[in-house]
Parts: sequence; C-alpha cells; structure tokens
Amino acid sequence: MAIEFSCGRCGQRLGADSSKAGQVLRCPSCQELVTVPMVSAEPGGQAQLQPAGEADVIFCMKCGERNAQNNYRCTRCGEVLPRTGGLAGPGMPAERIPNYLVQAILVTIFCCWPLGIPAIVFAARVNSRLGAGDIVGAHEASRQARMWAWLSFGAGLVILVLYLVVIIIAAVAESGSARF
Amino acid sequence: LKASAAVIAGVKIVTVAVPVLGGLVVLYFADPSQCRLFPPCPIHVATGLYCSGCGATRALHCLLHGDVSGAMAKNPLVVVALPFIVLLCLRPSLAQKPALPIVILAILLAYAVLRNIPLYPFVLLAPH
Repeated sequence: MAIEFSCGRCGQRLGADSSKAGQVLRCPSCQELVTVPMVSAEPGGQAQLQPAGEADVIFCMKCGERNAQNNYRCTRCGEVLPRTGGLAGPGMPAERIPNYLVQAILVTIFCCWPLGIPAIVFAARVNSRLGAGDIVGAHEASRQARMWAWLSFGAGLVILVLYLVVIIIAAVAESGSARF
Repeated sequence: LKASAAVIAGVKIVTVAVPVLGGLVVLYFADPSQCRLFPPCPIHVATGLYCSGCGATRALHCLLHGDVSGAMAKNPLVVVALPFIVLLCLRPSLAQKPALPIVILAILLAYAVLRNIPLYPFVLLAPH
C-alpha cells in the first residue's frame, strides 16, 4: 500500500511505498528532507509533512535508523536510543554514526581484502560526509561500510568452510586409497 | 522489536563470535605453518604475491604463545597494529577522525606493495 503525503516545504504531492514509513527521503521537487508518515495524509492536507529538522530526530547508535526525538527505543532494531538532551542542532551532530572502521580493518587483514577495502573507503566517506554536515549521506555510507564488512567477513568464512571440506575429502580419499 | 533484536544478536553470535573464538582456540593449539587446518590465502596461491594480511594467522598463533619476535617475522604490521585496533575499540570516537580511514587504507596498500619487493629491508616485511 502506498502512502500519500505532501512535502512540508514546497507542497509537492508525494507517494512512497508503505515499507518506507518513518524513513527520511529527499523531496524530488525541492530537495528538502521529509519523513514519510506512517499513514497517508488526510485529503486537504491537515497532516502536512514537517520538514525533518535535525533537532527533532534522533539516530539509533546501533543501526543508524532515524527516530522521532521522543522515541525511547529504535523503531527498527529495538535498541535504546541515546538521549541528546535537546542539544542537537544543525551542524552539530549529537549522535555518533558508526563507520565500522575497526571491523573494516579486521576483515581487510584477516578475511578478504578485495571486499574489505571498499569497507574502509565507505568508513572514510562516513567521516567526510559528517564533516560536511550531510547526516543522511553519512548514514548511507555507514550502511555501505557495514555491508562491505559483512561481505568480506562472509567471503572469508566461505573460503574457510570450502577449504576445510576439500581438506576433509582429500584426507578421506587418501585413507581410502591406502586401504585398497 | 525486542524479539528481532534478540534474533540479530543470536545470528551475530553464531556467525561471528563462535567462528572467531573457536578459531582462536584452534589457533592456540594448532600451528598454521605445521598443519593444514587453516586455508592459505587464495590470492597468494594464485599469484605468489603477499597481501597485507599474509602471515596474519601465523603471527596470531605466535602472539597467543607470547612469541612477539616470531609474530614480527610473520606479519609485523599485525603486531604493531593490534594495540591501535584495541584502542579504537575502546575509544570509538577516534574512528571518527576525518583522515584516519584514508591513512589506514594508505598504510595497508603501501605495506602490501613494500613486502613484495625482494630486496633487503623489505624482505623483513614478508612472512619468513
């Protein structure tokens, strides 16, 4: 089911899939950040969309999901949200967006560097976008960094398991040929 | 929501904590340069080149036995980097320093190039 709403800045009518409810998107018309409401706005526009200012949202420390300031737990992962005490403001991100740098380093060294290097690159992008005040972009880079770190870890794990299978088959074949 | 968070935690324990801790236990008892339990790097097998992680498993085995000089012979960067990685885990705000990820990437790439140079001081960087 699609959610219909309108941009709080330029009034552009917008539609989003209901799976996007609660997420922050950019208005294609005026580039303002808008939060997709949980339900369609009333025809006539009483429930017009607020521009998502940085002061009234709070980011989950664990998964990076954007939550309303008064939420206690993250709507995506259930983690208890950090309290900002109302000090958050534009240009001063109160929340720490994870860049998964440690994980990226570890998988680059121990698992699979071709997939670990993109993780480090996206970790760098989290920091540069945070520095530029691009919170949404930083969250996107954070998600990418996490994805590449997992891909590299998974690749290392798959290589390990495949290798062990081959070793075991070889050992069984060896003992088998010795018997015959 | 609580249930999904618990499921995520469970998946992480099974996919990360068990392999990593299990791997460390096996690594303590089995020497990767003696036994075949640990896979060689596919890239090293295919090309003969050392990447920045080559020798890291052997270095960890040495470190688990308190053999720092042995670990330095296998992968000096891992030995030098481990305290920094621990520090990064303890102080996550350090990871937010703007230039840090790029500096680390540059170190890893430069290290991978240098340890493939078959001349004296650089051969010390390759596993030996």
